[in-house]
Amino acid sequence: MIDFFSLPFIKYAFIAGLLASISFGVIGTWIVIRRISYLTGAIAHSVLAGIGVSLFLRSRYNLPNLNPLFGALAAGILAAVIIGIVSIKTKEREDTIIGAIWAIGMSVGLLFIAKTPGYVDPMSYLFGNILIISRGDLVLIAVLDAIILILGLLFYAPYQTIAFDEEFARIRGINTNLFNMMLLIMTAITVVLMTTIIGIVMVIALLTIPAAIAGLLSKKIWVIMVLAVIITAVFTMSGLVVSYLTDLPSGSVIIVIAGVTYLAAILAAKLFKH
Amino acid sequence: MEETIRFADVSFGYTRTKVLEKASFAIHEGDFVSIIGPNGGGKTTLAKLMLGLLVPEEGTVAVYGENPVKMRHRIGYVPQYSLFDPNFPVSVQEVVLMGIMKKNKFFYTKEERRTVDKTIEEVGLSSVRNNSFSDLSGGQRQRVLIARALTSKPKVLLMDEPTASVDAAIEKKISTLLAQLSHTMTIILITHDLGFVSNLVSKIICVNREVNIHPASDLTKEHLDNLYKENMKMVRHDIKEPS
Repeated sequence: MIDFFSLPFIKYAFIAGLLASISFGVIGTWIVIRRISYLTGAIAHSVLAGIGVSLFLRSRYNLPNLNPLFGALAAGILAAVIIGIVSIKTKEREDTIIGAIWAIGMSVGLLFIAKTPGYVDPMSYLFGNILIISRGDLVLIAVLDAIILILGLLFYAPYQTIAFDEEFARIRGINTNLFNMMLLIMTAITVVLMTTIIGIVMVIALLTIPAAIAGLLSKKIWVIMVLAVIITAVFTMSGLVVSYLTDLPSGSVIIVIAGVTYLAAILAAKLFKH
Repeated sequence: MEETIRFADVSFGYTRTKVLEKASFAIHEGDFVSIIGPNGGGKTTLAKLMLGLLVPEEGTVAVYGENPVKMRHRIGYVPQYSLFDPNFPVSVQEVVLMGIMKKNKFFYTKEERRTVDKTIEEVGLSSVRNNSFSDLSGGQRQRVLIARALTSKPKVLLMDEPTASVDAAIEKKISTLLAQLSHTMTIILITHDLGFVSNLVSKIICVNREVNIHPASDLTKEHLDNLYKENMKMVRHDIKEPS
């Protein structure tokens, strides 16, 4: 194990994974309770547009300090705002529009990557690659993580009220559209935190599975959140270890561990009930 | 008597067909009003207009003489409990606390928790205060939602189908609770069940696109036939078969 941590990228991946687990547990719980996985999927995939544009600009205009995660963040927030407006304004065809944003975001990213001078492998961003984590990424992840945690604690009670009964929350004078929009923006930020470890395609599974498992164990939202943070951290850490030992891609290993555990948890819950 | 709610020539439609047409009526402080009418006749639309969740196409709605959005905090709204996600992870106390949630409020104080516990006691649910909402029976959930509406001390209680799919024993409990509350507040019930609390009701609003208001004592079979567009049989629950 000592040998294991002597590799800086492994150490970085562990730190990034542990930090990101906090936001994943908190935001993932709201995503599962509010049943907005589909919106989350669209935001996650749109992030590629920002990554593509930053890689292109970095290479084309020689901007070595332009971290693709900044582009990812900008694109994710933009997608969240557009999706938020769409879900407020259009009651019909919402799913069609969200699906279009999902695909357009990815396409824009791939087009920019295609035109980026030199060879860039989009696979790293789509499916994660712990080799691309830098020290700067860790600082960015820590800052974003702190923002999510503070907002998550501060807005716990209003989000609980809205999630239980949105109409009642509006009658009580809460600006539900604003809170819903903020949740999507926080989702976008959270997605970006794990881009380098599991990539944007599979991130949705790590956002929802731990909260879904925790939901089988508790009927209190804050307990579900704490459990989801722990479960996310366990999945990420064990996935990283297994992926190192077996020389398999980290993101896929983490998701397979999460998925298998989830299936086992559902079965166990069913057996336990009867 | 102060006027609590006034509709003046209110029309509303979701598509081109009107759900409500030229609705005009007034509800006064202390009234116990039943809103009746067939499904799709506009009862829930009427409630949402009172709460400012919908805006009339024509005419005006006033709550205490003002825009409903401004005054809706004075209305305690109790939606149909059957519309809720039965697996939502939340305790009874947490649901009732939501009744005092408002703009720019993020935490509940100890004092507020005590007030909420008192309201829970009033609706007779102290023993299940910390239970999960999803573990409760239908009638208990209904009372949790009533407590949530009451905890902000509203002047008006607006309930949507409080007796939908609850059994007779629970219906009795809810009607006893409403009888108590009617001494101190205006009560508006949307209901299918004409017999429910009929002895408490002072006014009846019949809604089927058109809206008519009657004193409860004046409601006749003709009114109902007109409202439901078919021949209704009236059942008086308060008259027992001679044994």
